Parts: sequence; C-alpha cells; structure tokens
Amino acid sequence: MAVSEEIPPLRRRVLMGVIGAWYLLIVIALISLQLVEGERYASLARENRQYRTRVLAPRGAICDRNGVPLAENEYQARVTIARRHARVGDATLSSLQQLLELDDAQIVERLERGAEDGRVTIVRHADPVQIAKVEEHRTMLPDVQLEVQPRRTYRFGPLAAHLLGYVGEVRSDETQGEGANALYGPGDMIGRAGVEALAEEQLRGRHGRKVVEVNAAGHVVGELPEGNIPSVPGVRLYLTISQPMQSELEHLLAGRVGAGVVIEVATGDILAAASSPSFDPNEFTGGISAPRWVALNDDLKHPLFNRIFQGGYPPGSTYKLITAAAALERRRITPLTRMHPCHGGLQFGNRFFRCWKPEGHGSLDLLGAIAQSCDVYFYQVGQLLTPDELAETAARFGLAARTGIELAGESPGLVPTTSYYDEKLGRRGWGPGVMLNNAIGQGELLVTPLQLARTYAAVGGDGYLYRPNIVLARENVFGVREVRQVRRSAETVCSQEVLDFLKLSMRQAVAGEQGTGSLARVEGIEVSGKTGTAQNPHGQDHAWFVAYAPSEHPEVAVAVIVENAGHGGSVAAPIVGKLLTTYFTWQTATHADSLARATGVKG
Amino acid sequence: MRRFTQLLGRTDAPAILAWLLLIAIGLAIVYSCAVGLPGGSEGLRSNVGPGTFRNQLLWVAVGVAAAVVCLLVPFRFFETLAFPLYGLALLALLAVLLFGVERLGSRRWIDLGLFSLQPSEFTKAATIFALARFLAMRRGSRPILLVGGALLLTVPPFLLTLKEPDLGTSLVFLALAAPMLLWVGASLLLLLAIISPALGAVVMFYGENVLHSTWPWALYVLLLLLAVFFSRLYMLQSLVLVFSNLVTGLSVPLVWEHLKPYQQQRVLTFLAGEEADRLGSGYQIFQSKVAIGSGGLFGKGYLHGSQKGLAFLPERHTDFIFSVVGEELGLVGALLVVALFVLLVYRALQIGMKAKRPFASLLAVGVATYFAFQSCVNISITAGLLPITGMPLPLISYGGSSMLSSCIMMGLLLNVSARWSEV
Repeated sequence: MAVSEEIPPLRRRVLMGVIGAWYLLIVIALISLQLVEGERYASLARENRQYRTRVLAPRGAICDRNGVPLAENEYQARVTIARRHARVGDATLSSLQQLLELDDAQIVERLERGAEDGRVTIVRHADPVQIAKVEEHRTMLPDVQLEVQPRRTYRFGPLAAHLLGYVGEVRSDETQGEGANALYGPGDMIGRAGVEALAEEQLRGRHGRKVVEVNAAGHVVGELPEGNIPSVPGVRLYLTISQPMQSELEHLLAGRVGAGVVIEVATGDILAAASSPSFDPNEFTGGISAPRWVALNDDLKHPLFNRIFQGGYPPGSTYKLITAAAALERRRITPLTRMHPCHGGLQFGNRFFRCWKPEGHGSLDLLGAIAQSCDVYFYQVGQLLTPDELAETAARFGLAARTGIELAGESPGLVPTTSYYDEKLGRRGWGPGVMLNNAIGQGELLVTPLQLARTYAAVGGDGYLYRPNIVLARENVFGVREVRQVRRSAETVCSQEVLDFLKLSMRQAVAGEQGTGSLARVEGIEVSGKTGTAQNPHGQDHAWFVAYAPSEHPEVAVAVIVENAGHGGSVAAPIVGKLLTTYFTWQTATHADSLARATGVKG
Repeated sequence: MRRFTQLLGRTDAPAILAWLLLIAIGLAIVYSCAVGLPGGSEGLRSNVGPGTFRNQLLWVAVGVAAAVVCLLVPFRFFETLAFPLYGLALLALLAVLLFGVERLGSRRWIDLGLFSLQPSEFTKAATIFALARFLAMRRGSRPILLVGGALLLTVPPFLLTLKEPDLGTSLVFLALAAPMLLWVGASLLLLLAIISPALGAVVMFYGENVLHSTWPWALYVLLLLLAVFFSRLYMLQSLVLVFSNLVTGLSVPLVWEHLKPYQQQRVLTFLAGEEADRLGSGYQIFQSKVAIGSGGLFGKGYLHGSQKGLAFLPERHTDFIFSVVGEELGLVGALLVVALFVLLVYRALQIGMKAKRPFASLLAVGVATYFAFQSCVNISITAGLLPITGMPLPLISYGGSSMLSSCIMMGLLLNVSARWSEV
C-alpha cells in the first residue's frame, strides 16, 4: 500500500497548494518587475552605468608680446570619490583619509563644497606620493578615482603679478546656470584679478560634456557617442608687455617700494609695468591658505596693492611741465620770461616757501627753470594761474581722469579745482597760496605712474594721448587673431608751439649741464625726462623720474617712482637709465632675430 | 547495459527533461557571468573568470555521473545505509567547524587539495534519507512521536550549519521535515502548533522592530490561549504549547541583541524596503531588482546584461544567478526557469504519490521539498520578496557541492520513478 493512500487528500492538496501559491507569487513579482515597472528599472540600470562628465576646456594661456608664456596650465591629478561615499563615517572615505593622512577639517571642508557630476573632490592637487598610494590601493578603494585636471601656473612666479592677476576656485554663488548648462562647476578656476579677471570670459573657454560608461567600481570602461559636446579651449592672450623688459624693471625695483611703467609712445602699449613689492600668483591657484592671505594683507608694504595705476602720488616737479604749459598756452609767460631770481626760497604772505636747492638757482628763464627744476620760479608762475586754469590744462594732459586701461580698479588721481577747495576747505577757507604748491606738483595733487608715463609719451610723441593697452592680441583655437586697436585722444595736449618748447626743456633736463636728470643718460641715445620729488607727510619723500627716448623720435616713455627714496634725480633717474639701456639692447636683439628669421640665416 | 536502458526507459521523462534543461540554462548563464564585459570588473576583486565555466562544466559531468550511479543502485541500499550516511554527514559538518576553510566570514568548506567541498549540501540529501527512513519505520505511531523524532533528526544539522554561519542552509533542514511529516499523517493542526512558536517569534520581532510595540505579541498570546482553551487539548500538550510560545517570543529581543550588526541591518533593510537605502545595505537587493526589472519581456540578450557585465550585481554567478537570467533572457527566460522548477517539483510529488514503498515515497517528497524550497527562497530573494540569506539556486548556481548534491537527489528521484512498484 502506497503511503499516499494512507493520508487524507486534503493534506496533499494543502502541500501542493502552499508550493503552488509560492510559485504563483514569484510569477506575479516577476511580471510586476519586468513588465509593469520594467521601464523604470531599465532607466535605473542606465543610471547605474552611465554618467555625464565634463570635458574641461583648457584655460587660455597668457603670453608676453613675443609669445613667451607667462600663465599656463599644468596638468595635475585630483582624487575624487563617488557621492554615495561622501559622508563622514563612510568606510571608504575613512580608509582614503587614513591612506592620504588628511585631517578631519580638510575632509569636512571638501565635503561641504559638494559634488560635481556625482563625485566629490577630496584632494585637489595630489602629489606623486598620494597618486602612488591611491593607485596601489585601487581595489580596496572602490569608487575612488584619480582625475587629471589642469592647474594654473605662472612660470615666472611673481613676474607681472599685478597685471596677470590670479585665479581662485569659483564660489557656489558664481556658478551661473544649472547642471549641464552651468558655466562653472564646483572646483573650477575663475579669474580673480588682473588680466585673468579681465578676460575671464575668453580665457575660460567652454567646457564640453561626454557620457561615459562605468563599471561597479566606478572605472570607466567606454564612452557613449550620444550626448557628446566637445569642449572649446580658452583664447590665448598676447600681452603688450615684453618679458625681458618686465624682468629688468622688476629686477631694478627689487627691494624697493614703488612702481614703474614703460609704454610705447606710438601705440600706448605697455611694454612693462611693475609694482613693488609683488606676490606670487601661484599661491592663489590651489586656494590660498588663510594665514598666508592675512599675511599678504597685513604686510605694511602692501604687496597686493597695484601701485601702477591704483597708487596716487603727488607728481612733484614732474608736474612743472604742466604748469609751464598752462602759463605758456595762456600767454602769461613766454619761454624767455625771467622771474625774480631764486635765493633758496620765496616769502609769500607770512609763509616762506623753500626751493629744493637751499643755495638758490639765481635768475633763470623758463627753459633753465624746468631743466634745473627751480621751485621759486614756478611759485611765481603759479601765482599767474587760477586753480581751474591749471586743472584744465592738467585734464588735457590726461590727469584727473582714468587712462582707460582695461584692467579693473584704476584710480583717476586728483587735480584740485576751485570747487574742490570750496567743498573741502569752505569758500573762504583757502587762498591763492594753494597755487604755489600746485605749481610744483605738491599739495592735494595725485597722479598714478601710468598717467604720468602716458602724459610724457604725449609730450615726446605727436601730442596725442594714447589709451594704454595691456592685451596686444587674442588668438582663438583656430588661430584667428584679434589685435588691439590703437586709440588716441581727439585733441593734442597743447599747441604745437608749446609742445616743441616742452620737448626742448625735457631734453635739457637730462642732457643739460645743470639738468637734474643727468643720471638717466644712456650711451648712444638721447633721453628726455624730468625728475620729481613728491613730499610725503608720513616720511621721506618719494622719488620720481619720468622720461622718453630717443628725444627726437621717442619710442618709449617711462615713469618710475620709488617710495621714501628722497630725491628723484639720484634714485629714480638711474633706474630709468638702465631700463632704457635694456630697452634699446632688446630692441636691437629682437630686430636682429626677426632679420635672421626672415632671411633664413641661423645665428 | 541493457538493464540500464530498461531502467532508463522506466524513469520519469518530464523530470529528466526539466533536470537537463535547468542544467543547460545554468551552464549558459555561468558562462555569461564568466565572460562578462571587457573592463567590467576592473578595479574589483572578482572571483569570476574563464576558469569558472570550466569548473562548472566539470562538476556537471561529475553530477550527471553520480546521478546515473544513484539511479543504478537499488534504493533499498540507501534505506539500509540511511542512518550511517546521516551520521557521516554530521561528522563532516563537525569537521567543517573544526578544520574548515573560512571565506567571507563563514566556515563552510573543507579543503581537499584539488577542490573544496561544502558538506552541508550533502547533509541535505543525508537528512532526507534519515527522515524518510525514520518516518517510514515509525509511520502509524502517535503523531507527537513522529514530530519529536523528526525534530531530533533535523535539529543537529540545523544547529551545526547555523554555527558556520549559514542561515539559509540551516533553514532548509527545518523546511524538509514539515512536508514529510504531513505525508505520514501528522495533522495540519499539529503542524501549525509546531510552527506556532516561530510564528509568535515573527510577531514579536515585527512588533518590536517595526511598530515599536509589544502589543501585537500580547494579542497573539491571547489568541493562542483562547485557541488552546477551546480545542480541549490535554493539559501537558497545552502547557508545552503555551510555554514554548512564551519562550520563543520572549527570547526574540535577546537573540536580536546577539545578532551581528550586518545581520540586523539586512533584516531591517528588507523590512524598510531596499530602495530606502539602495547604496548601503540595500545595495544587493536593489541591484538585483534593477537587473531583473531592466530585462523587460525579452531581456537584454544573452551575454549582454549590463548589471552583470559591469559587476553591479554581486554574487551574480552564485546566489544571484537568477537575476542574470531575468536581465539577459527577460520575463520569458525567467518564467521558463520557474516553469521547469514547477514541472520538476510536480513530477517529484507525483512520483512520491505513486511509489509503493514508504521509504521511496518519502524520499521523493523530500527531494520535491528540497527543490521547491530552495528555488522559491532563492528566486524570492532576487525579486526582493525575502531578506537576503545565502542560498544557491539548485542546478543553476555555480558551485560544485550544490550541483553534485542536487544531481544525487535527481538520481534518487529517477531511481524511485523507475522502481515505484517495488515494495
């Protein structure tokens, strides 16, 4: 007798029913998963293995006028982790932290920056040791990746730092646009100062996108053609500066506090411009550390301050040119006018105004007064002019207004007018005595080194003011170049007659036997220029020298100021002299170079 | 040889068909897992490779050979040797605990040099022998004695495998006993009474950990007391029933405290829905459901599963092989596998009904239960219907011991189907 016959059919049916019901449940579950929710799971499977990633556009390089790269990209590895592990206490994250010996604060700071394309950057610039460690522990660190990213580097360190500016990591409020359309993603660089900020839109290029397929460990196994947007590299900039000139200028200013500008007379191109002391923009690239930032800001010499066109200084005697022009144009004096002789000072009212030369200059005509920079002569010229008259001429010479350089933060300087005095000192709070100070470039007057260089370039050149250029050309990835346009003022700074006289006096100031700027002389080239000593209420005087050369058909104009250095003729003039020597040697060298290139002869 | 062909002619053809088709599908999927996609497992520690398929092919050959041997040997031989084989299996399990190889935190394997074996898989067959032998011998005795005896036979392998730890396998031993008991006359009520402590434990657990209340369990105990009162049981039986319920129910919180955190997490994840924590502890179930679901009606095509190929699917060639079936072959392929198991189990139960000798009948029911329980639990896990416990899909999952053990049971089933009339 079979066992089955001993048991009631109900129990067999229950057994079969239980098993059958279970299988039925499985069939229902499979239909629900694969048919009803199939689409949803199919897209989840796609999300699993595909992710969109950005193809970073290389930031445009910044070169000098001859193509010497000043700011470039260096490729560096960064360590990223999948967002799902980006939380404190995650096992993968903690082992990564231990491996790379990162402290908690760094990790927290990184996590707070958020994810980009589902990945959070843990180390922005991995050093070779860190790269090796991550590579070695690949299998133990699923979802950790090394990604190569460009890093901005400034090959010459602090060279032209105030012009180039620097880049920093973009802030979350600057990313503009959402998701795939965002101009920036977390961790991107953005120009923060100088040309980097000025040409940000062109330099940054456009990031592309691609869709990659990854495996469970996050390793890229392939690319999917759909959804690919190629990246557009940033525009390459050629600056007007010349690296050898810039180096020489910075070398000459090293150890001093001050600024210098060299501009091309015919175009307004800035060939070199430096503010001393400087800083190294490389420090900003990886995100500057807080203590370093505080140190740079608290430095009494203000290395971050751009003295080239943000620093306002009294022009001192360099201003006598403008006082002379104002009086000549209005025919208050002629070049032959002799004032009361100089005996080392002038009594005006109850105050004695000193000349810089205590023993006095004696009787001088205008030419001699400019060349020897006699203060007493100009005290008397000042009395022939009203503040507004002098200010008007100064404005024609390009002072008290921005030069129009494209870089941000330019200071317009200051030339006092009647309304300025009325407002500051009250309608009756001031007298004609202010004109004595104004005439010799002291008092409330403020000019920037760039303004003064441009003014002297106009005097030495055709009499027009040229807009200073810093970007010579922009070249896109296809090699299309857009060259800067030369722009000059509508009118000349003064009449041709006055201009000719000013040129003569400038020449005398350097070449003349008594000229104050004799130390700026250059062998084989005639230099014109003017010294200046800006009185500084806080300490020793600032030394100016402004010049152009060659005197007959000037190519370059130079302005140099050295703070707290005393007399302009002895400190600033030699710097200008050396700078001009470098310029003319460099000019010959590049000329020879291009000649060699053109004829196919190798040096 | 003629004897063999005669014997083969009398075996159950549908069962052979289901068996061989399942093995073929299994080999095909294991091959697919072994091939993967280029770069698919880069950066991962992968234990799947070209050798995987070769090994499985070898084990299938060994398994089929073993099935033929089991078919040839008269089942009386197994009846006689049931208890010694069972004892041997228990010794092997003890040996595992003493000298076993530890992998991924559990000690389940004995290393035999060329290959390693998982004695717990063979213990399943041995336990079926022992249960069949005991129940066939004692059928007609008082049900309570049968239940007690069956428990005495299943609890030792249950505890030994639980210690490895291998929760999935240990549950198989308990599951084997119930249908076989039913087959020899234990009443449904009795079986319900037996499983009531487990039911109570589930109620207690669910109340504590999901509803954060002990009231559901209190209600359950109240219902139990009422049922006991009205069913007029003997005093001793009533006391045993109520006492065992109280003990298991109250021990749930204590046991829970002693579970390993990952075990607690698995259960909680299951209860909370795996998508709540799809990247943490719900990862396996989530990826498995994505694999099956994304297969759709016809699948992504053989060898083209991305979840499998890019290694998102964990344990894809072993416990989660059904997910690969669903992903690459779609609903059609998944239902085919389910249908083949249903056919196999149905035929096994039919053979059990037909067999004249009680031992043979119970053997067939045991085999049916084994295939039904393992396939249902495994597929339910991959479809997200049950929390994760390690359990291979018989005849399909990669693994020599499981393949060999399943083939031996198939051999026994065919043996019974060919000799059903022997008393």
